[in-house]
Amino acid sequence: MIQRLSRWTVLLAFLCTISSIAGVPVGEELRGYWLQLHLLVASPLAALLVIRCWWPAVDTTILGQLSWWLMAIAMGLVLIPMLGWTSSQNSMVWIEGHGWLSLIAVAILGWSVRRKST
Amino acid sequence: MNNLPAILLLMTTLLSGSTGTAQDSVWKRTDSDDPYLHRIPLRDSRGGVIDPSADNGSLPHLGKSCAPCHDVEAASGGLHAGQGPDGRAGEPWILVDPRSATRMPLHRRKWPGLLSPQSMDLDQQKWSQEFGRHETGAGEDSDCLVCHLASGYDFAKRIEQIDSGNTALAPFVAAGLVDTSGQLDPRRFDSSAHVELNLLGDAGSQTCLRCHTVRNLDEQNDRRWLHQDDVHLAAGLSCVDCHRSGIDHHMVRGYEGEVHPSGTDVTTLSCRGCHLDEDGGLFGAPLAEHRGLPPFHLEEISCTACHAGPGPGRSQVAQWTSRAHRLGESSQDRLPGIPPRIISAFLQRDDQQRISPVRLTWPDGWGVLETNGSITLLTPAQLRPVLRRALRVRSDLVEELSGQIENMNASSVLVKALKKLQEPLEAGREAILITGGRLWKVSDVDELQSSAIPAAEAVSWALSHPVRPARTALGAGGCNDCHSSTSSWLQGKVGPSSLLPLPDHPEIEGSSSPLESGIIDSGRWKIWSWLFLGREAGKIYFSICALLAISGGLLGLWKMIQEESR
Repeated sequence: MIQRLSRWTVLLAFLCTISSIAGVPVGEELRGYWLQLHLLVASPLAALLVIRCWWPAVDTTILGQLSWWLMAIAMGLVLIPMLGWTSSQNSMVWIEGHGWLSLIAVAILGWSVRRKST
Repeated sequence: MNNLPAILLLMTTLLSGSTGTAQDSVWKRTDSDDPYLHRIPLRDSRGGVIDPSADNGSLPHLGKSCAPCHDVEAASGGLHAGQGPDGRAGEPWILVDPRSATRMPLHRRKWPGLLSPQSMDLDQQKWSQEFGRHETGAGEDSDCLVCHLASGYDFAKRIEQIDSGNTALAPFVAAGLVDTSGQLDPRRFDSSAHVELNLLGDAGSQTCLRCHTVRNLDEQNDRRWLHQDDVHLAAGLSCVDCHRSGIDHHMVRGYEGEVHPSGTDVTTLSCRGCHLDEDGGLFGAPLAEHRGLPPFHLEEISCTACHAGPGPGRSQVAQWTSRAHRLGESSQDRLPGIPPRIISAFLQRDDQQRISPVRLTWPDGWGVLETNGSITLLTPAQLRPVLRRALRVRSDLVEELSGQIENMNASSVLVKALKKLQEPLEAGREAILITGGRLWKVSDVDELQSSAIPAAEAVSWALSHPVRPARTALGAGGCNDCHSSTSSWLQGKVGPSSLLPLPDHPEIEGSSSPLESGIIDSGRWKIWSWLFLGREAGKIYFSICALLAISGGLLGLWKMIQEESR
């Protein structure tokens, strides 16, 4: 069960990354249909992340666990502007922080998978 | 040695003359923040000082009275007097003539959709008689007192005088220096034939509001006492604190992207410049935080869309403006339905592609559709004799036509008028009526037929005041002020009106909302509205998930590191 959920988590994390490409350029904000898709994918991913962080799959490495944890922190970062804890103008710092940290987390995840397979 | 002060004075004079500008050397200034009390003589049109006891019939001339100390030539120009670049479209003047059912927005500036004064056969004199009441004038006829006399200026008297063609004396009559018969009031002069005038550079916002008042109309109840001031005025600022100018009267308009004719950077005098930029904060202006608002909203939406446009839960409302509805003149006939009908606020994309609020009005008038497709509009003076003959109109076409349609079809009345207008026209030229947002002409079977053309579309101009504070701005109630299927401002429909009664033509009722007019992607907006139904629950859900995932992840990571180290 955990294994299957783990695969779903990876898939949704990948989709989240794909749907955020429009917001990758610095200073560019993800918006419109891409943001809607991103939120749609992120909603189940948030719950899966909780499961993934608390109940890691048996073959999870330290690097893999680190990547999920960074993804969880990235989710926390985007809550700062979402909850109105910062001004609209400063929101970009948090949103970009969310984006770059998520990308780093995905990159680490990919690296950990590659290391495991070799 | 005794000549030293005189030599120093001479040297100073020579040096200042050689290095200073003409303006520095000629015009008197106190350079103090303390207002200068104007105790001055009045001068006639040749510059001679008027002695009220001489009784020689000399009449005062405003330009000559101010000229000894001020650069009147420069002061009577500028953006405020219609010079300089046209810039963003502002409020048009609206020529309303009930006798010919004409309601035409026009302006000297080349703003979209507006006629020029020449096209309505308005020369300087006719223009002044029609609109001079609410215009400060330009050149020789400038009225400095209407803006700069802080007290004792009777604006209603000014309107009276200008309406009766007495433009030159209007400022003096309004200031109580001359009576309506043109006699100087000797009580206003002291023993040295000087008058005392409380003239100020900034004479207070009330002087601006003489020509720039805007009043919302509640068509059910005439609740004028519910009018709310602009937040800036309520905070103690005056209009010219932001709408500044020098003697050139190139008054800063204060919109984003404004290029000032003087070349001065006026960015900080716009909403965004003052409230969002680091260099702003004039008069301690608060830095707008817009907490919880995704930043791209500030790129997509102008400040005025939320702070001056429609309020939460309130959509479009009819308004009176000073210039269109002769506010300032005491009247018992100013009823909510009087033309022109001005609607506030509709939302459009401005020239920076930001969603911005505008006021709207629709043109009404008669004209000729030329063979090349252009339209030549007829002036009220050209129309009156024709309409009088065709429809027996005497004073008010709208009223009399309303009476006639009791017995006959409104279309047939208008067909009759259009056919009368058609009579003198050469083949290929067609008599037309513009009303209700459409062009009307007589078909081959003598029926009224309409079509949509740009010339009949609404004329719009930016709306910026009164500015509401954050607590009453759109969005103060959360995202659902906009992102909701019940949001009225985006879905509130506005349609054209017609001065003429056209009950048998439902096409004039055709109205649209900002959403339908395509200012935003309606499909995307609908998805957001649906998503935002669960926004608050979503915030809680993501917060719980983030807390659990971070703590769980950290714990898991800690355990793994510990196991690894064993």
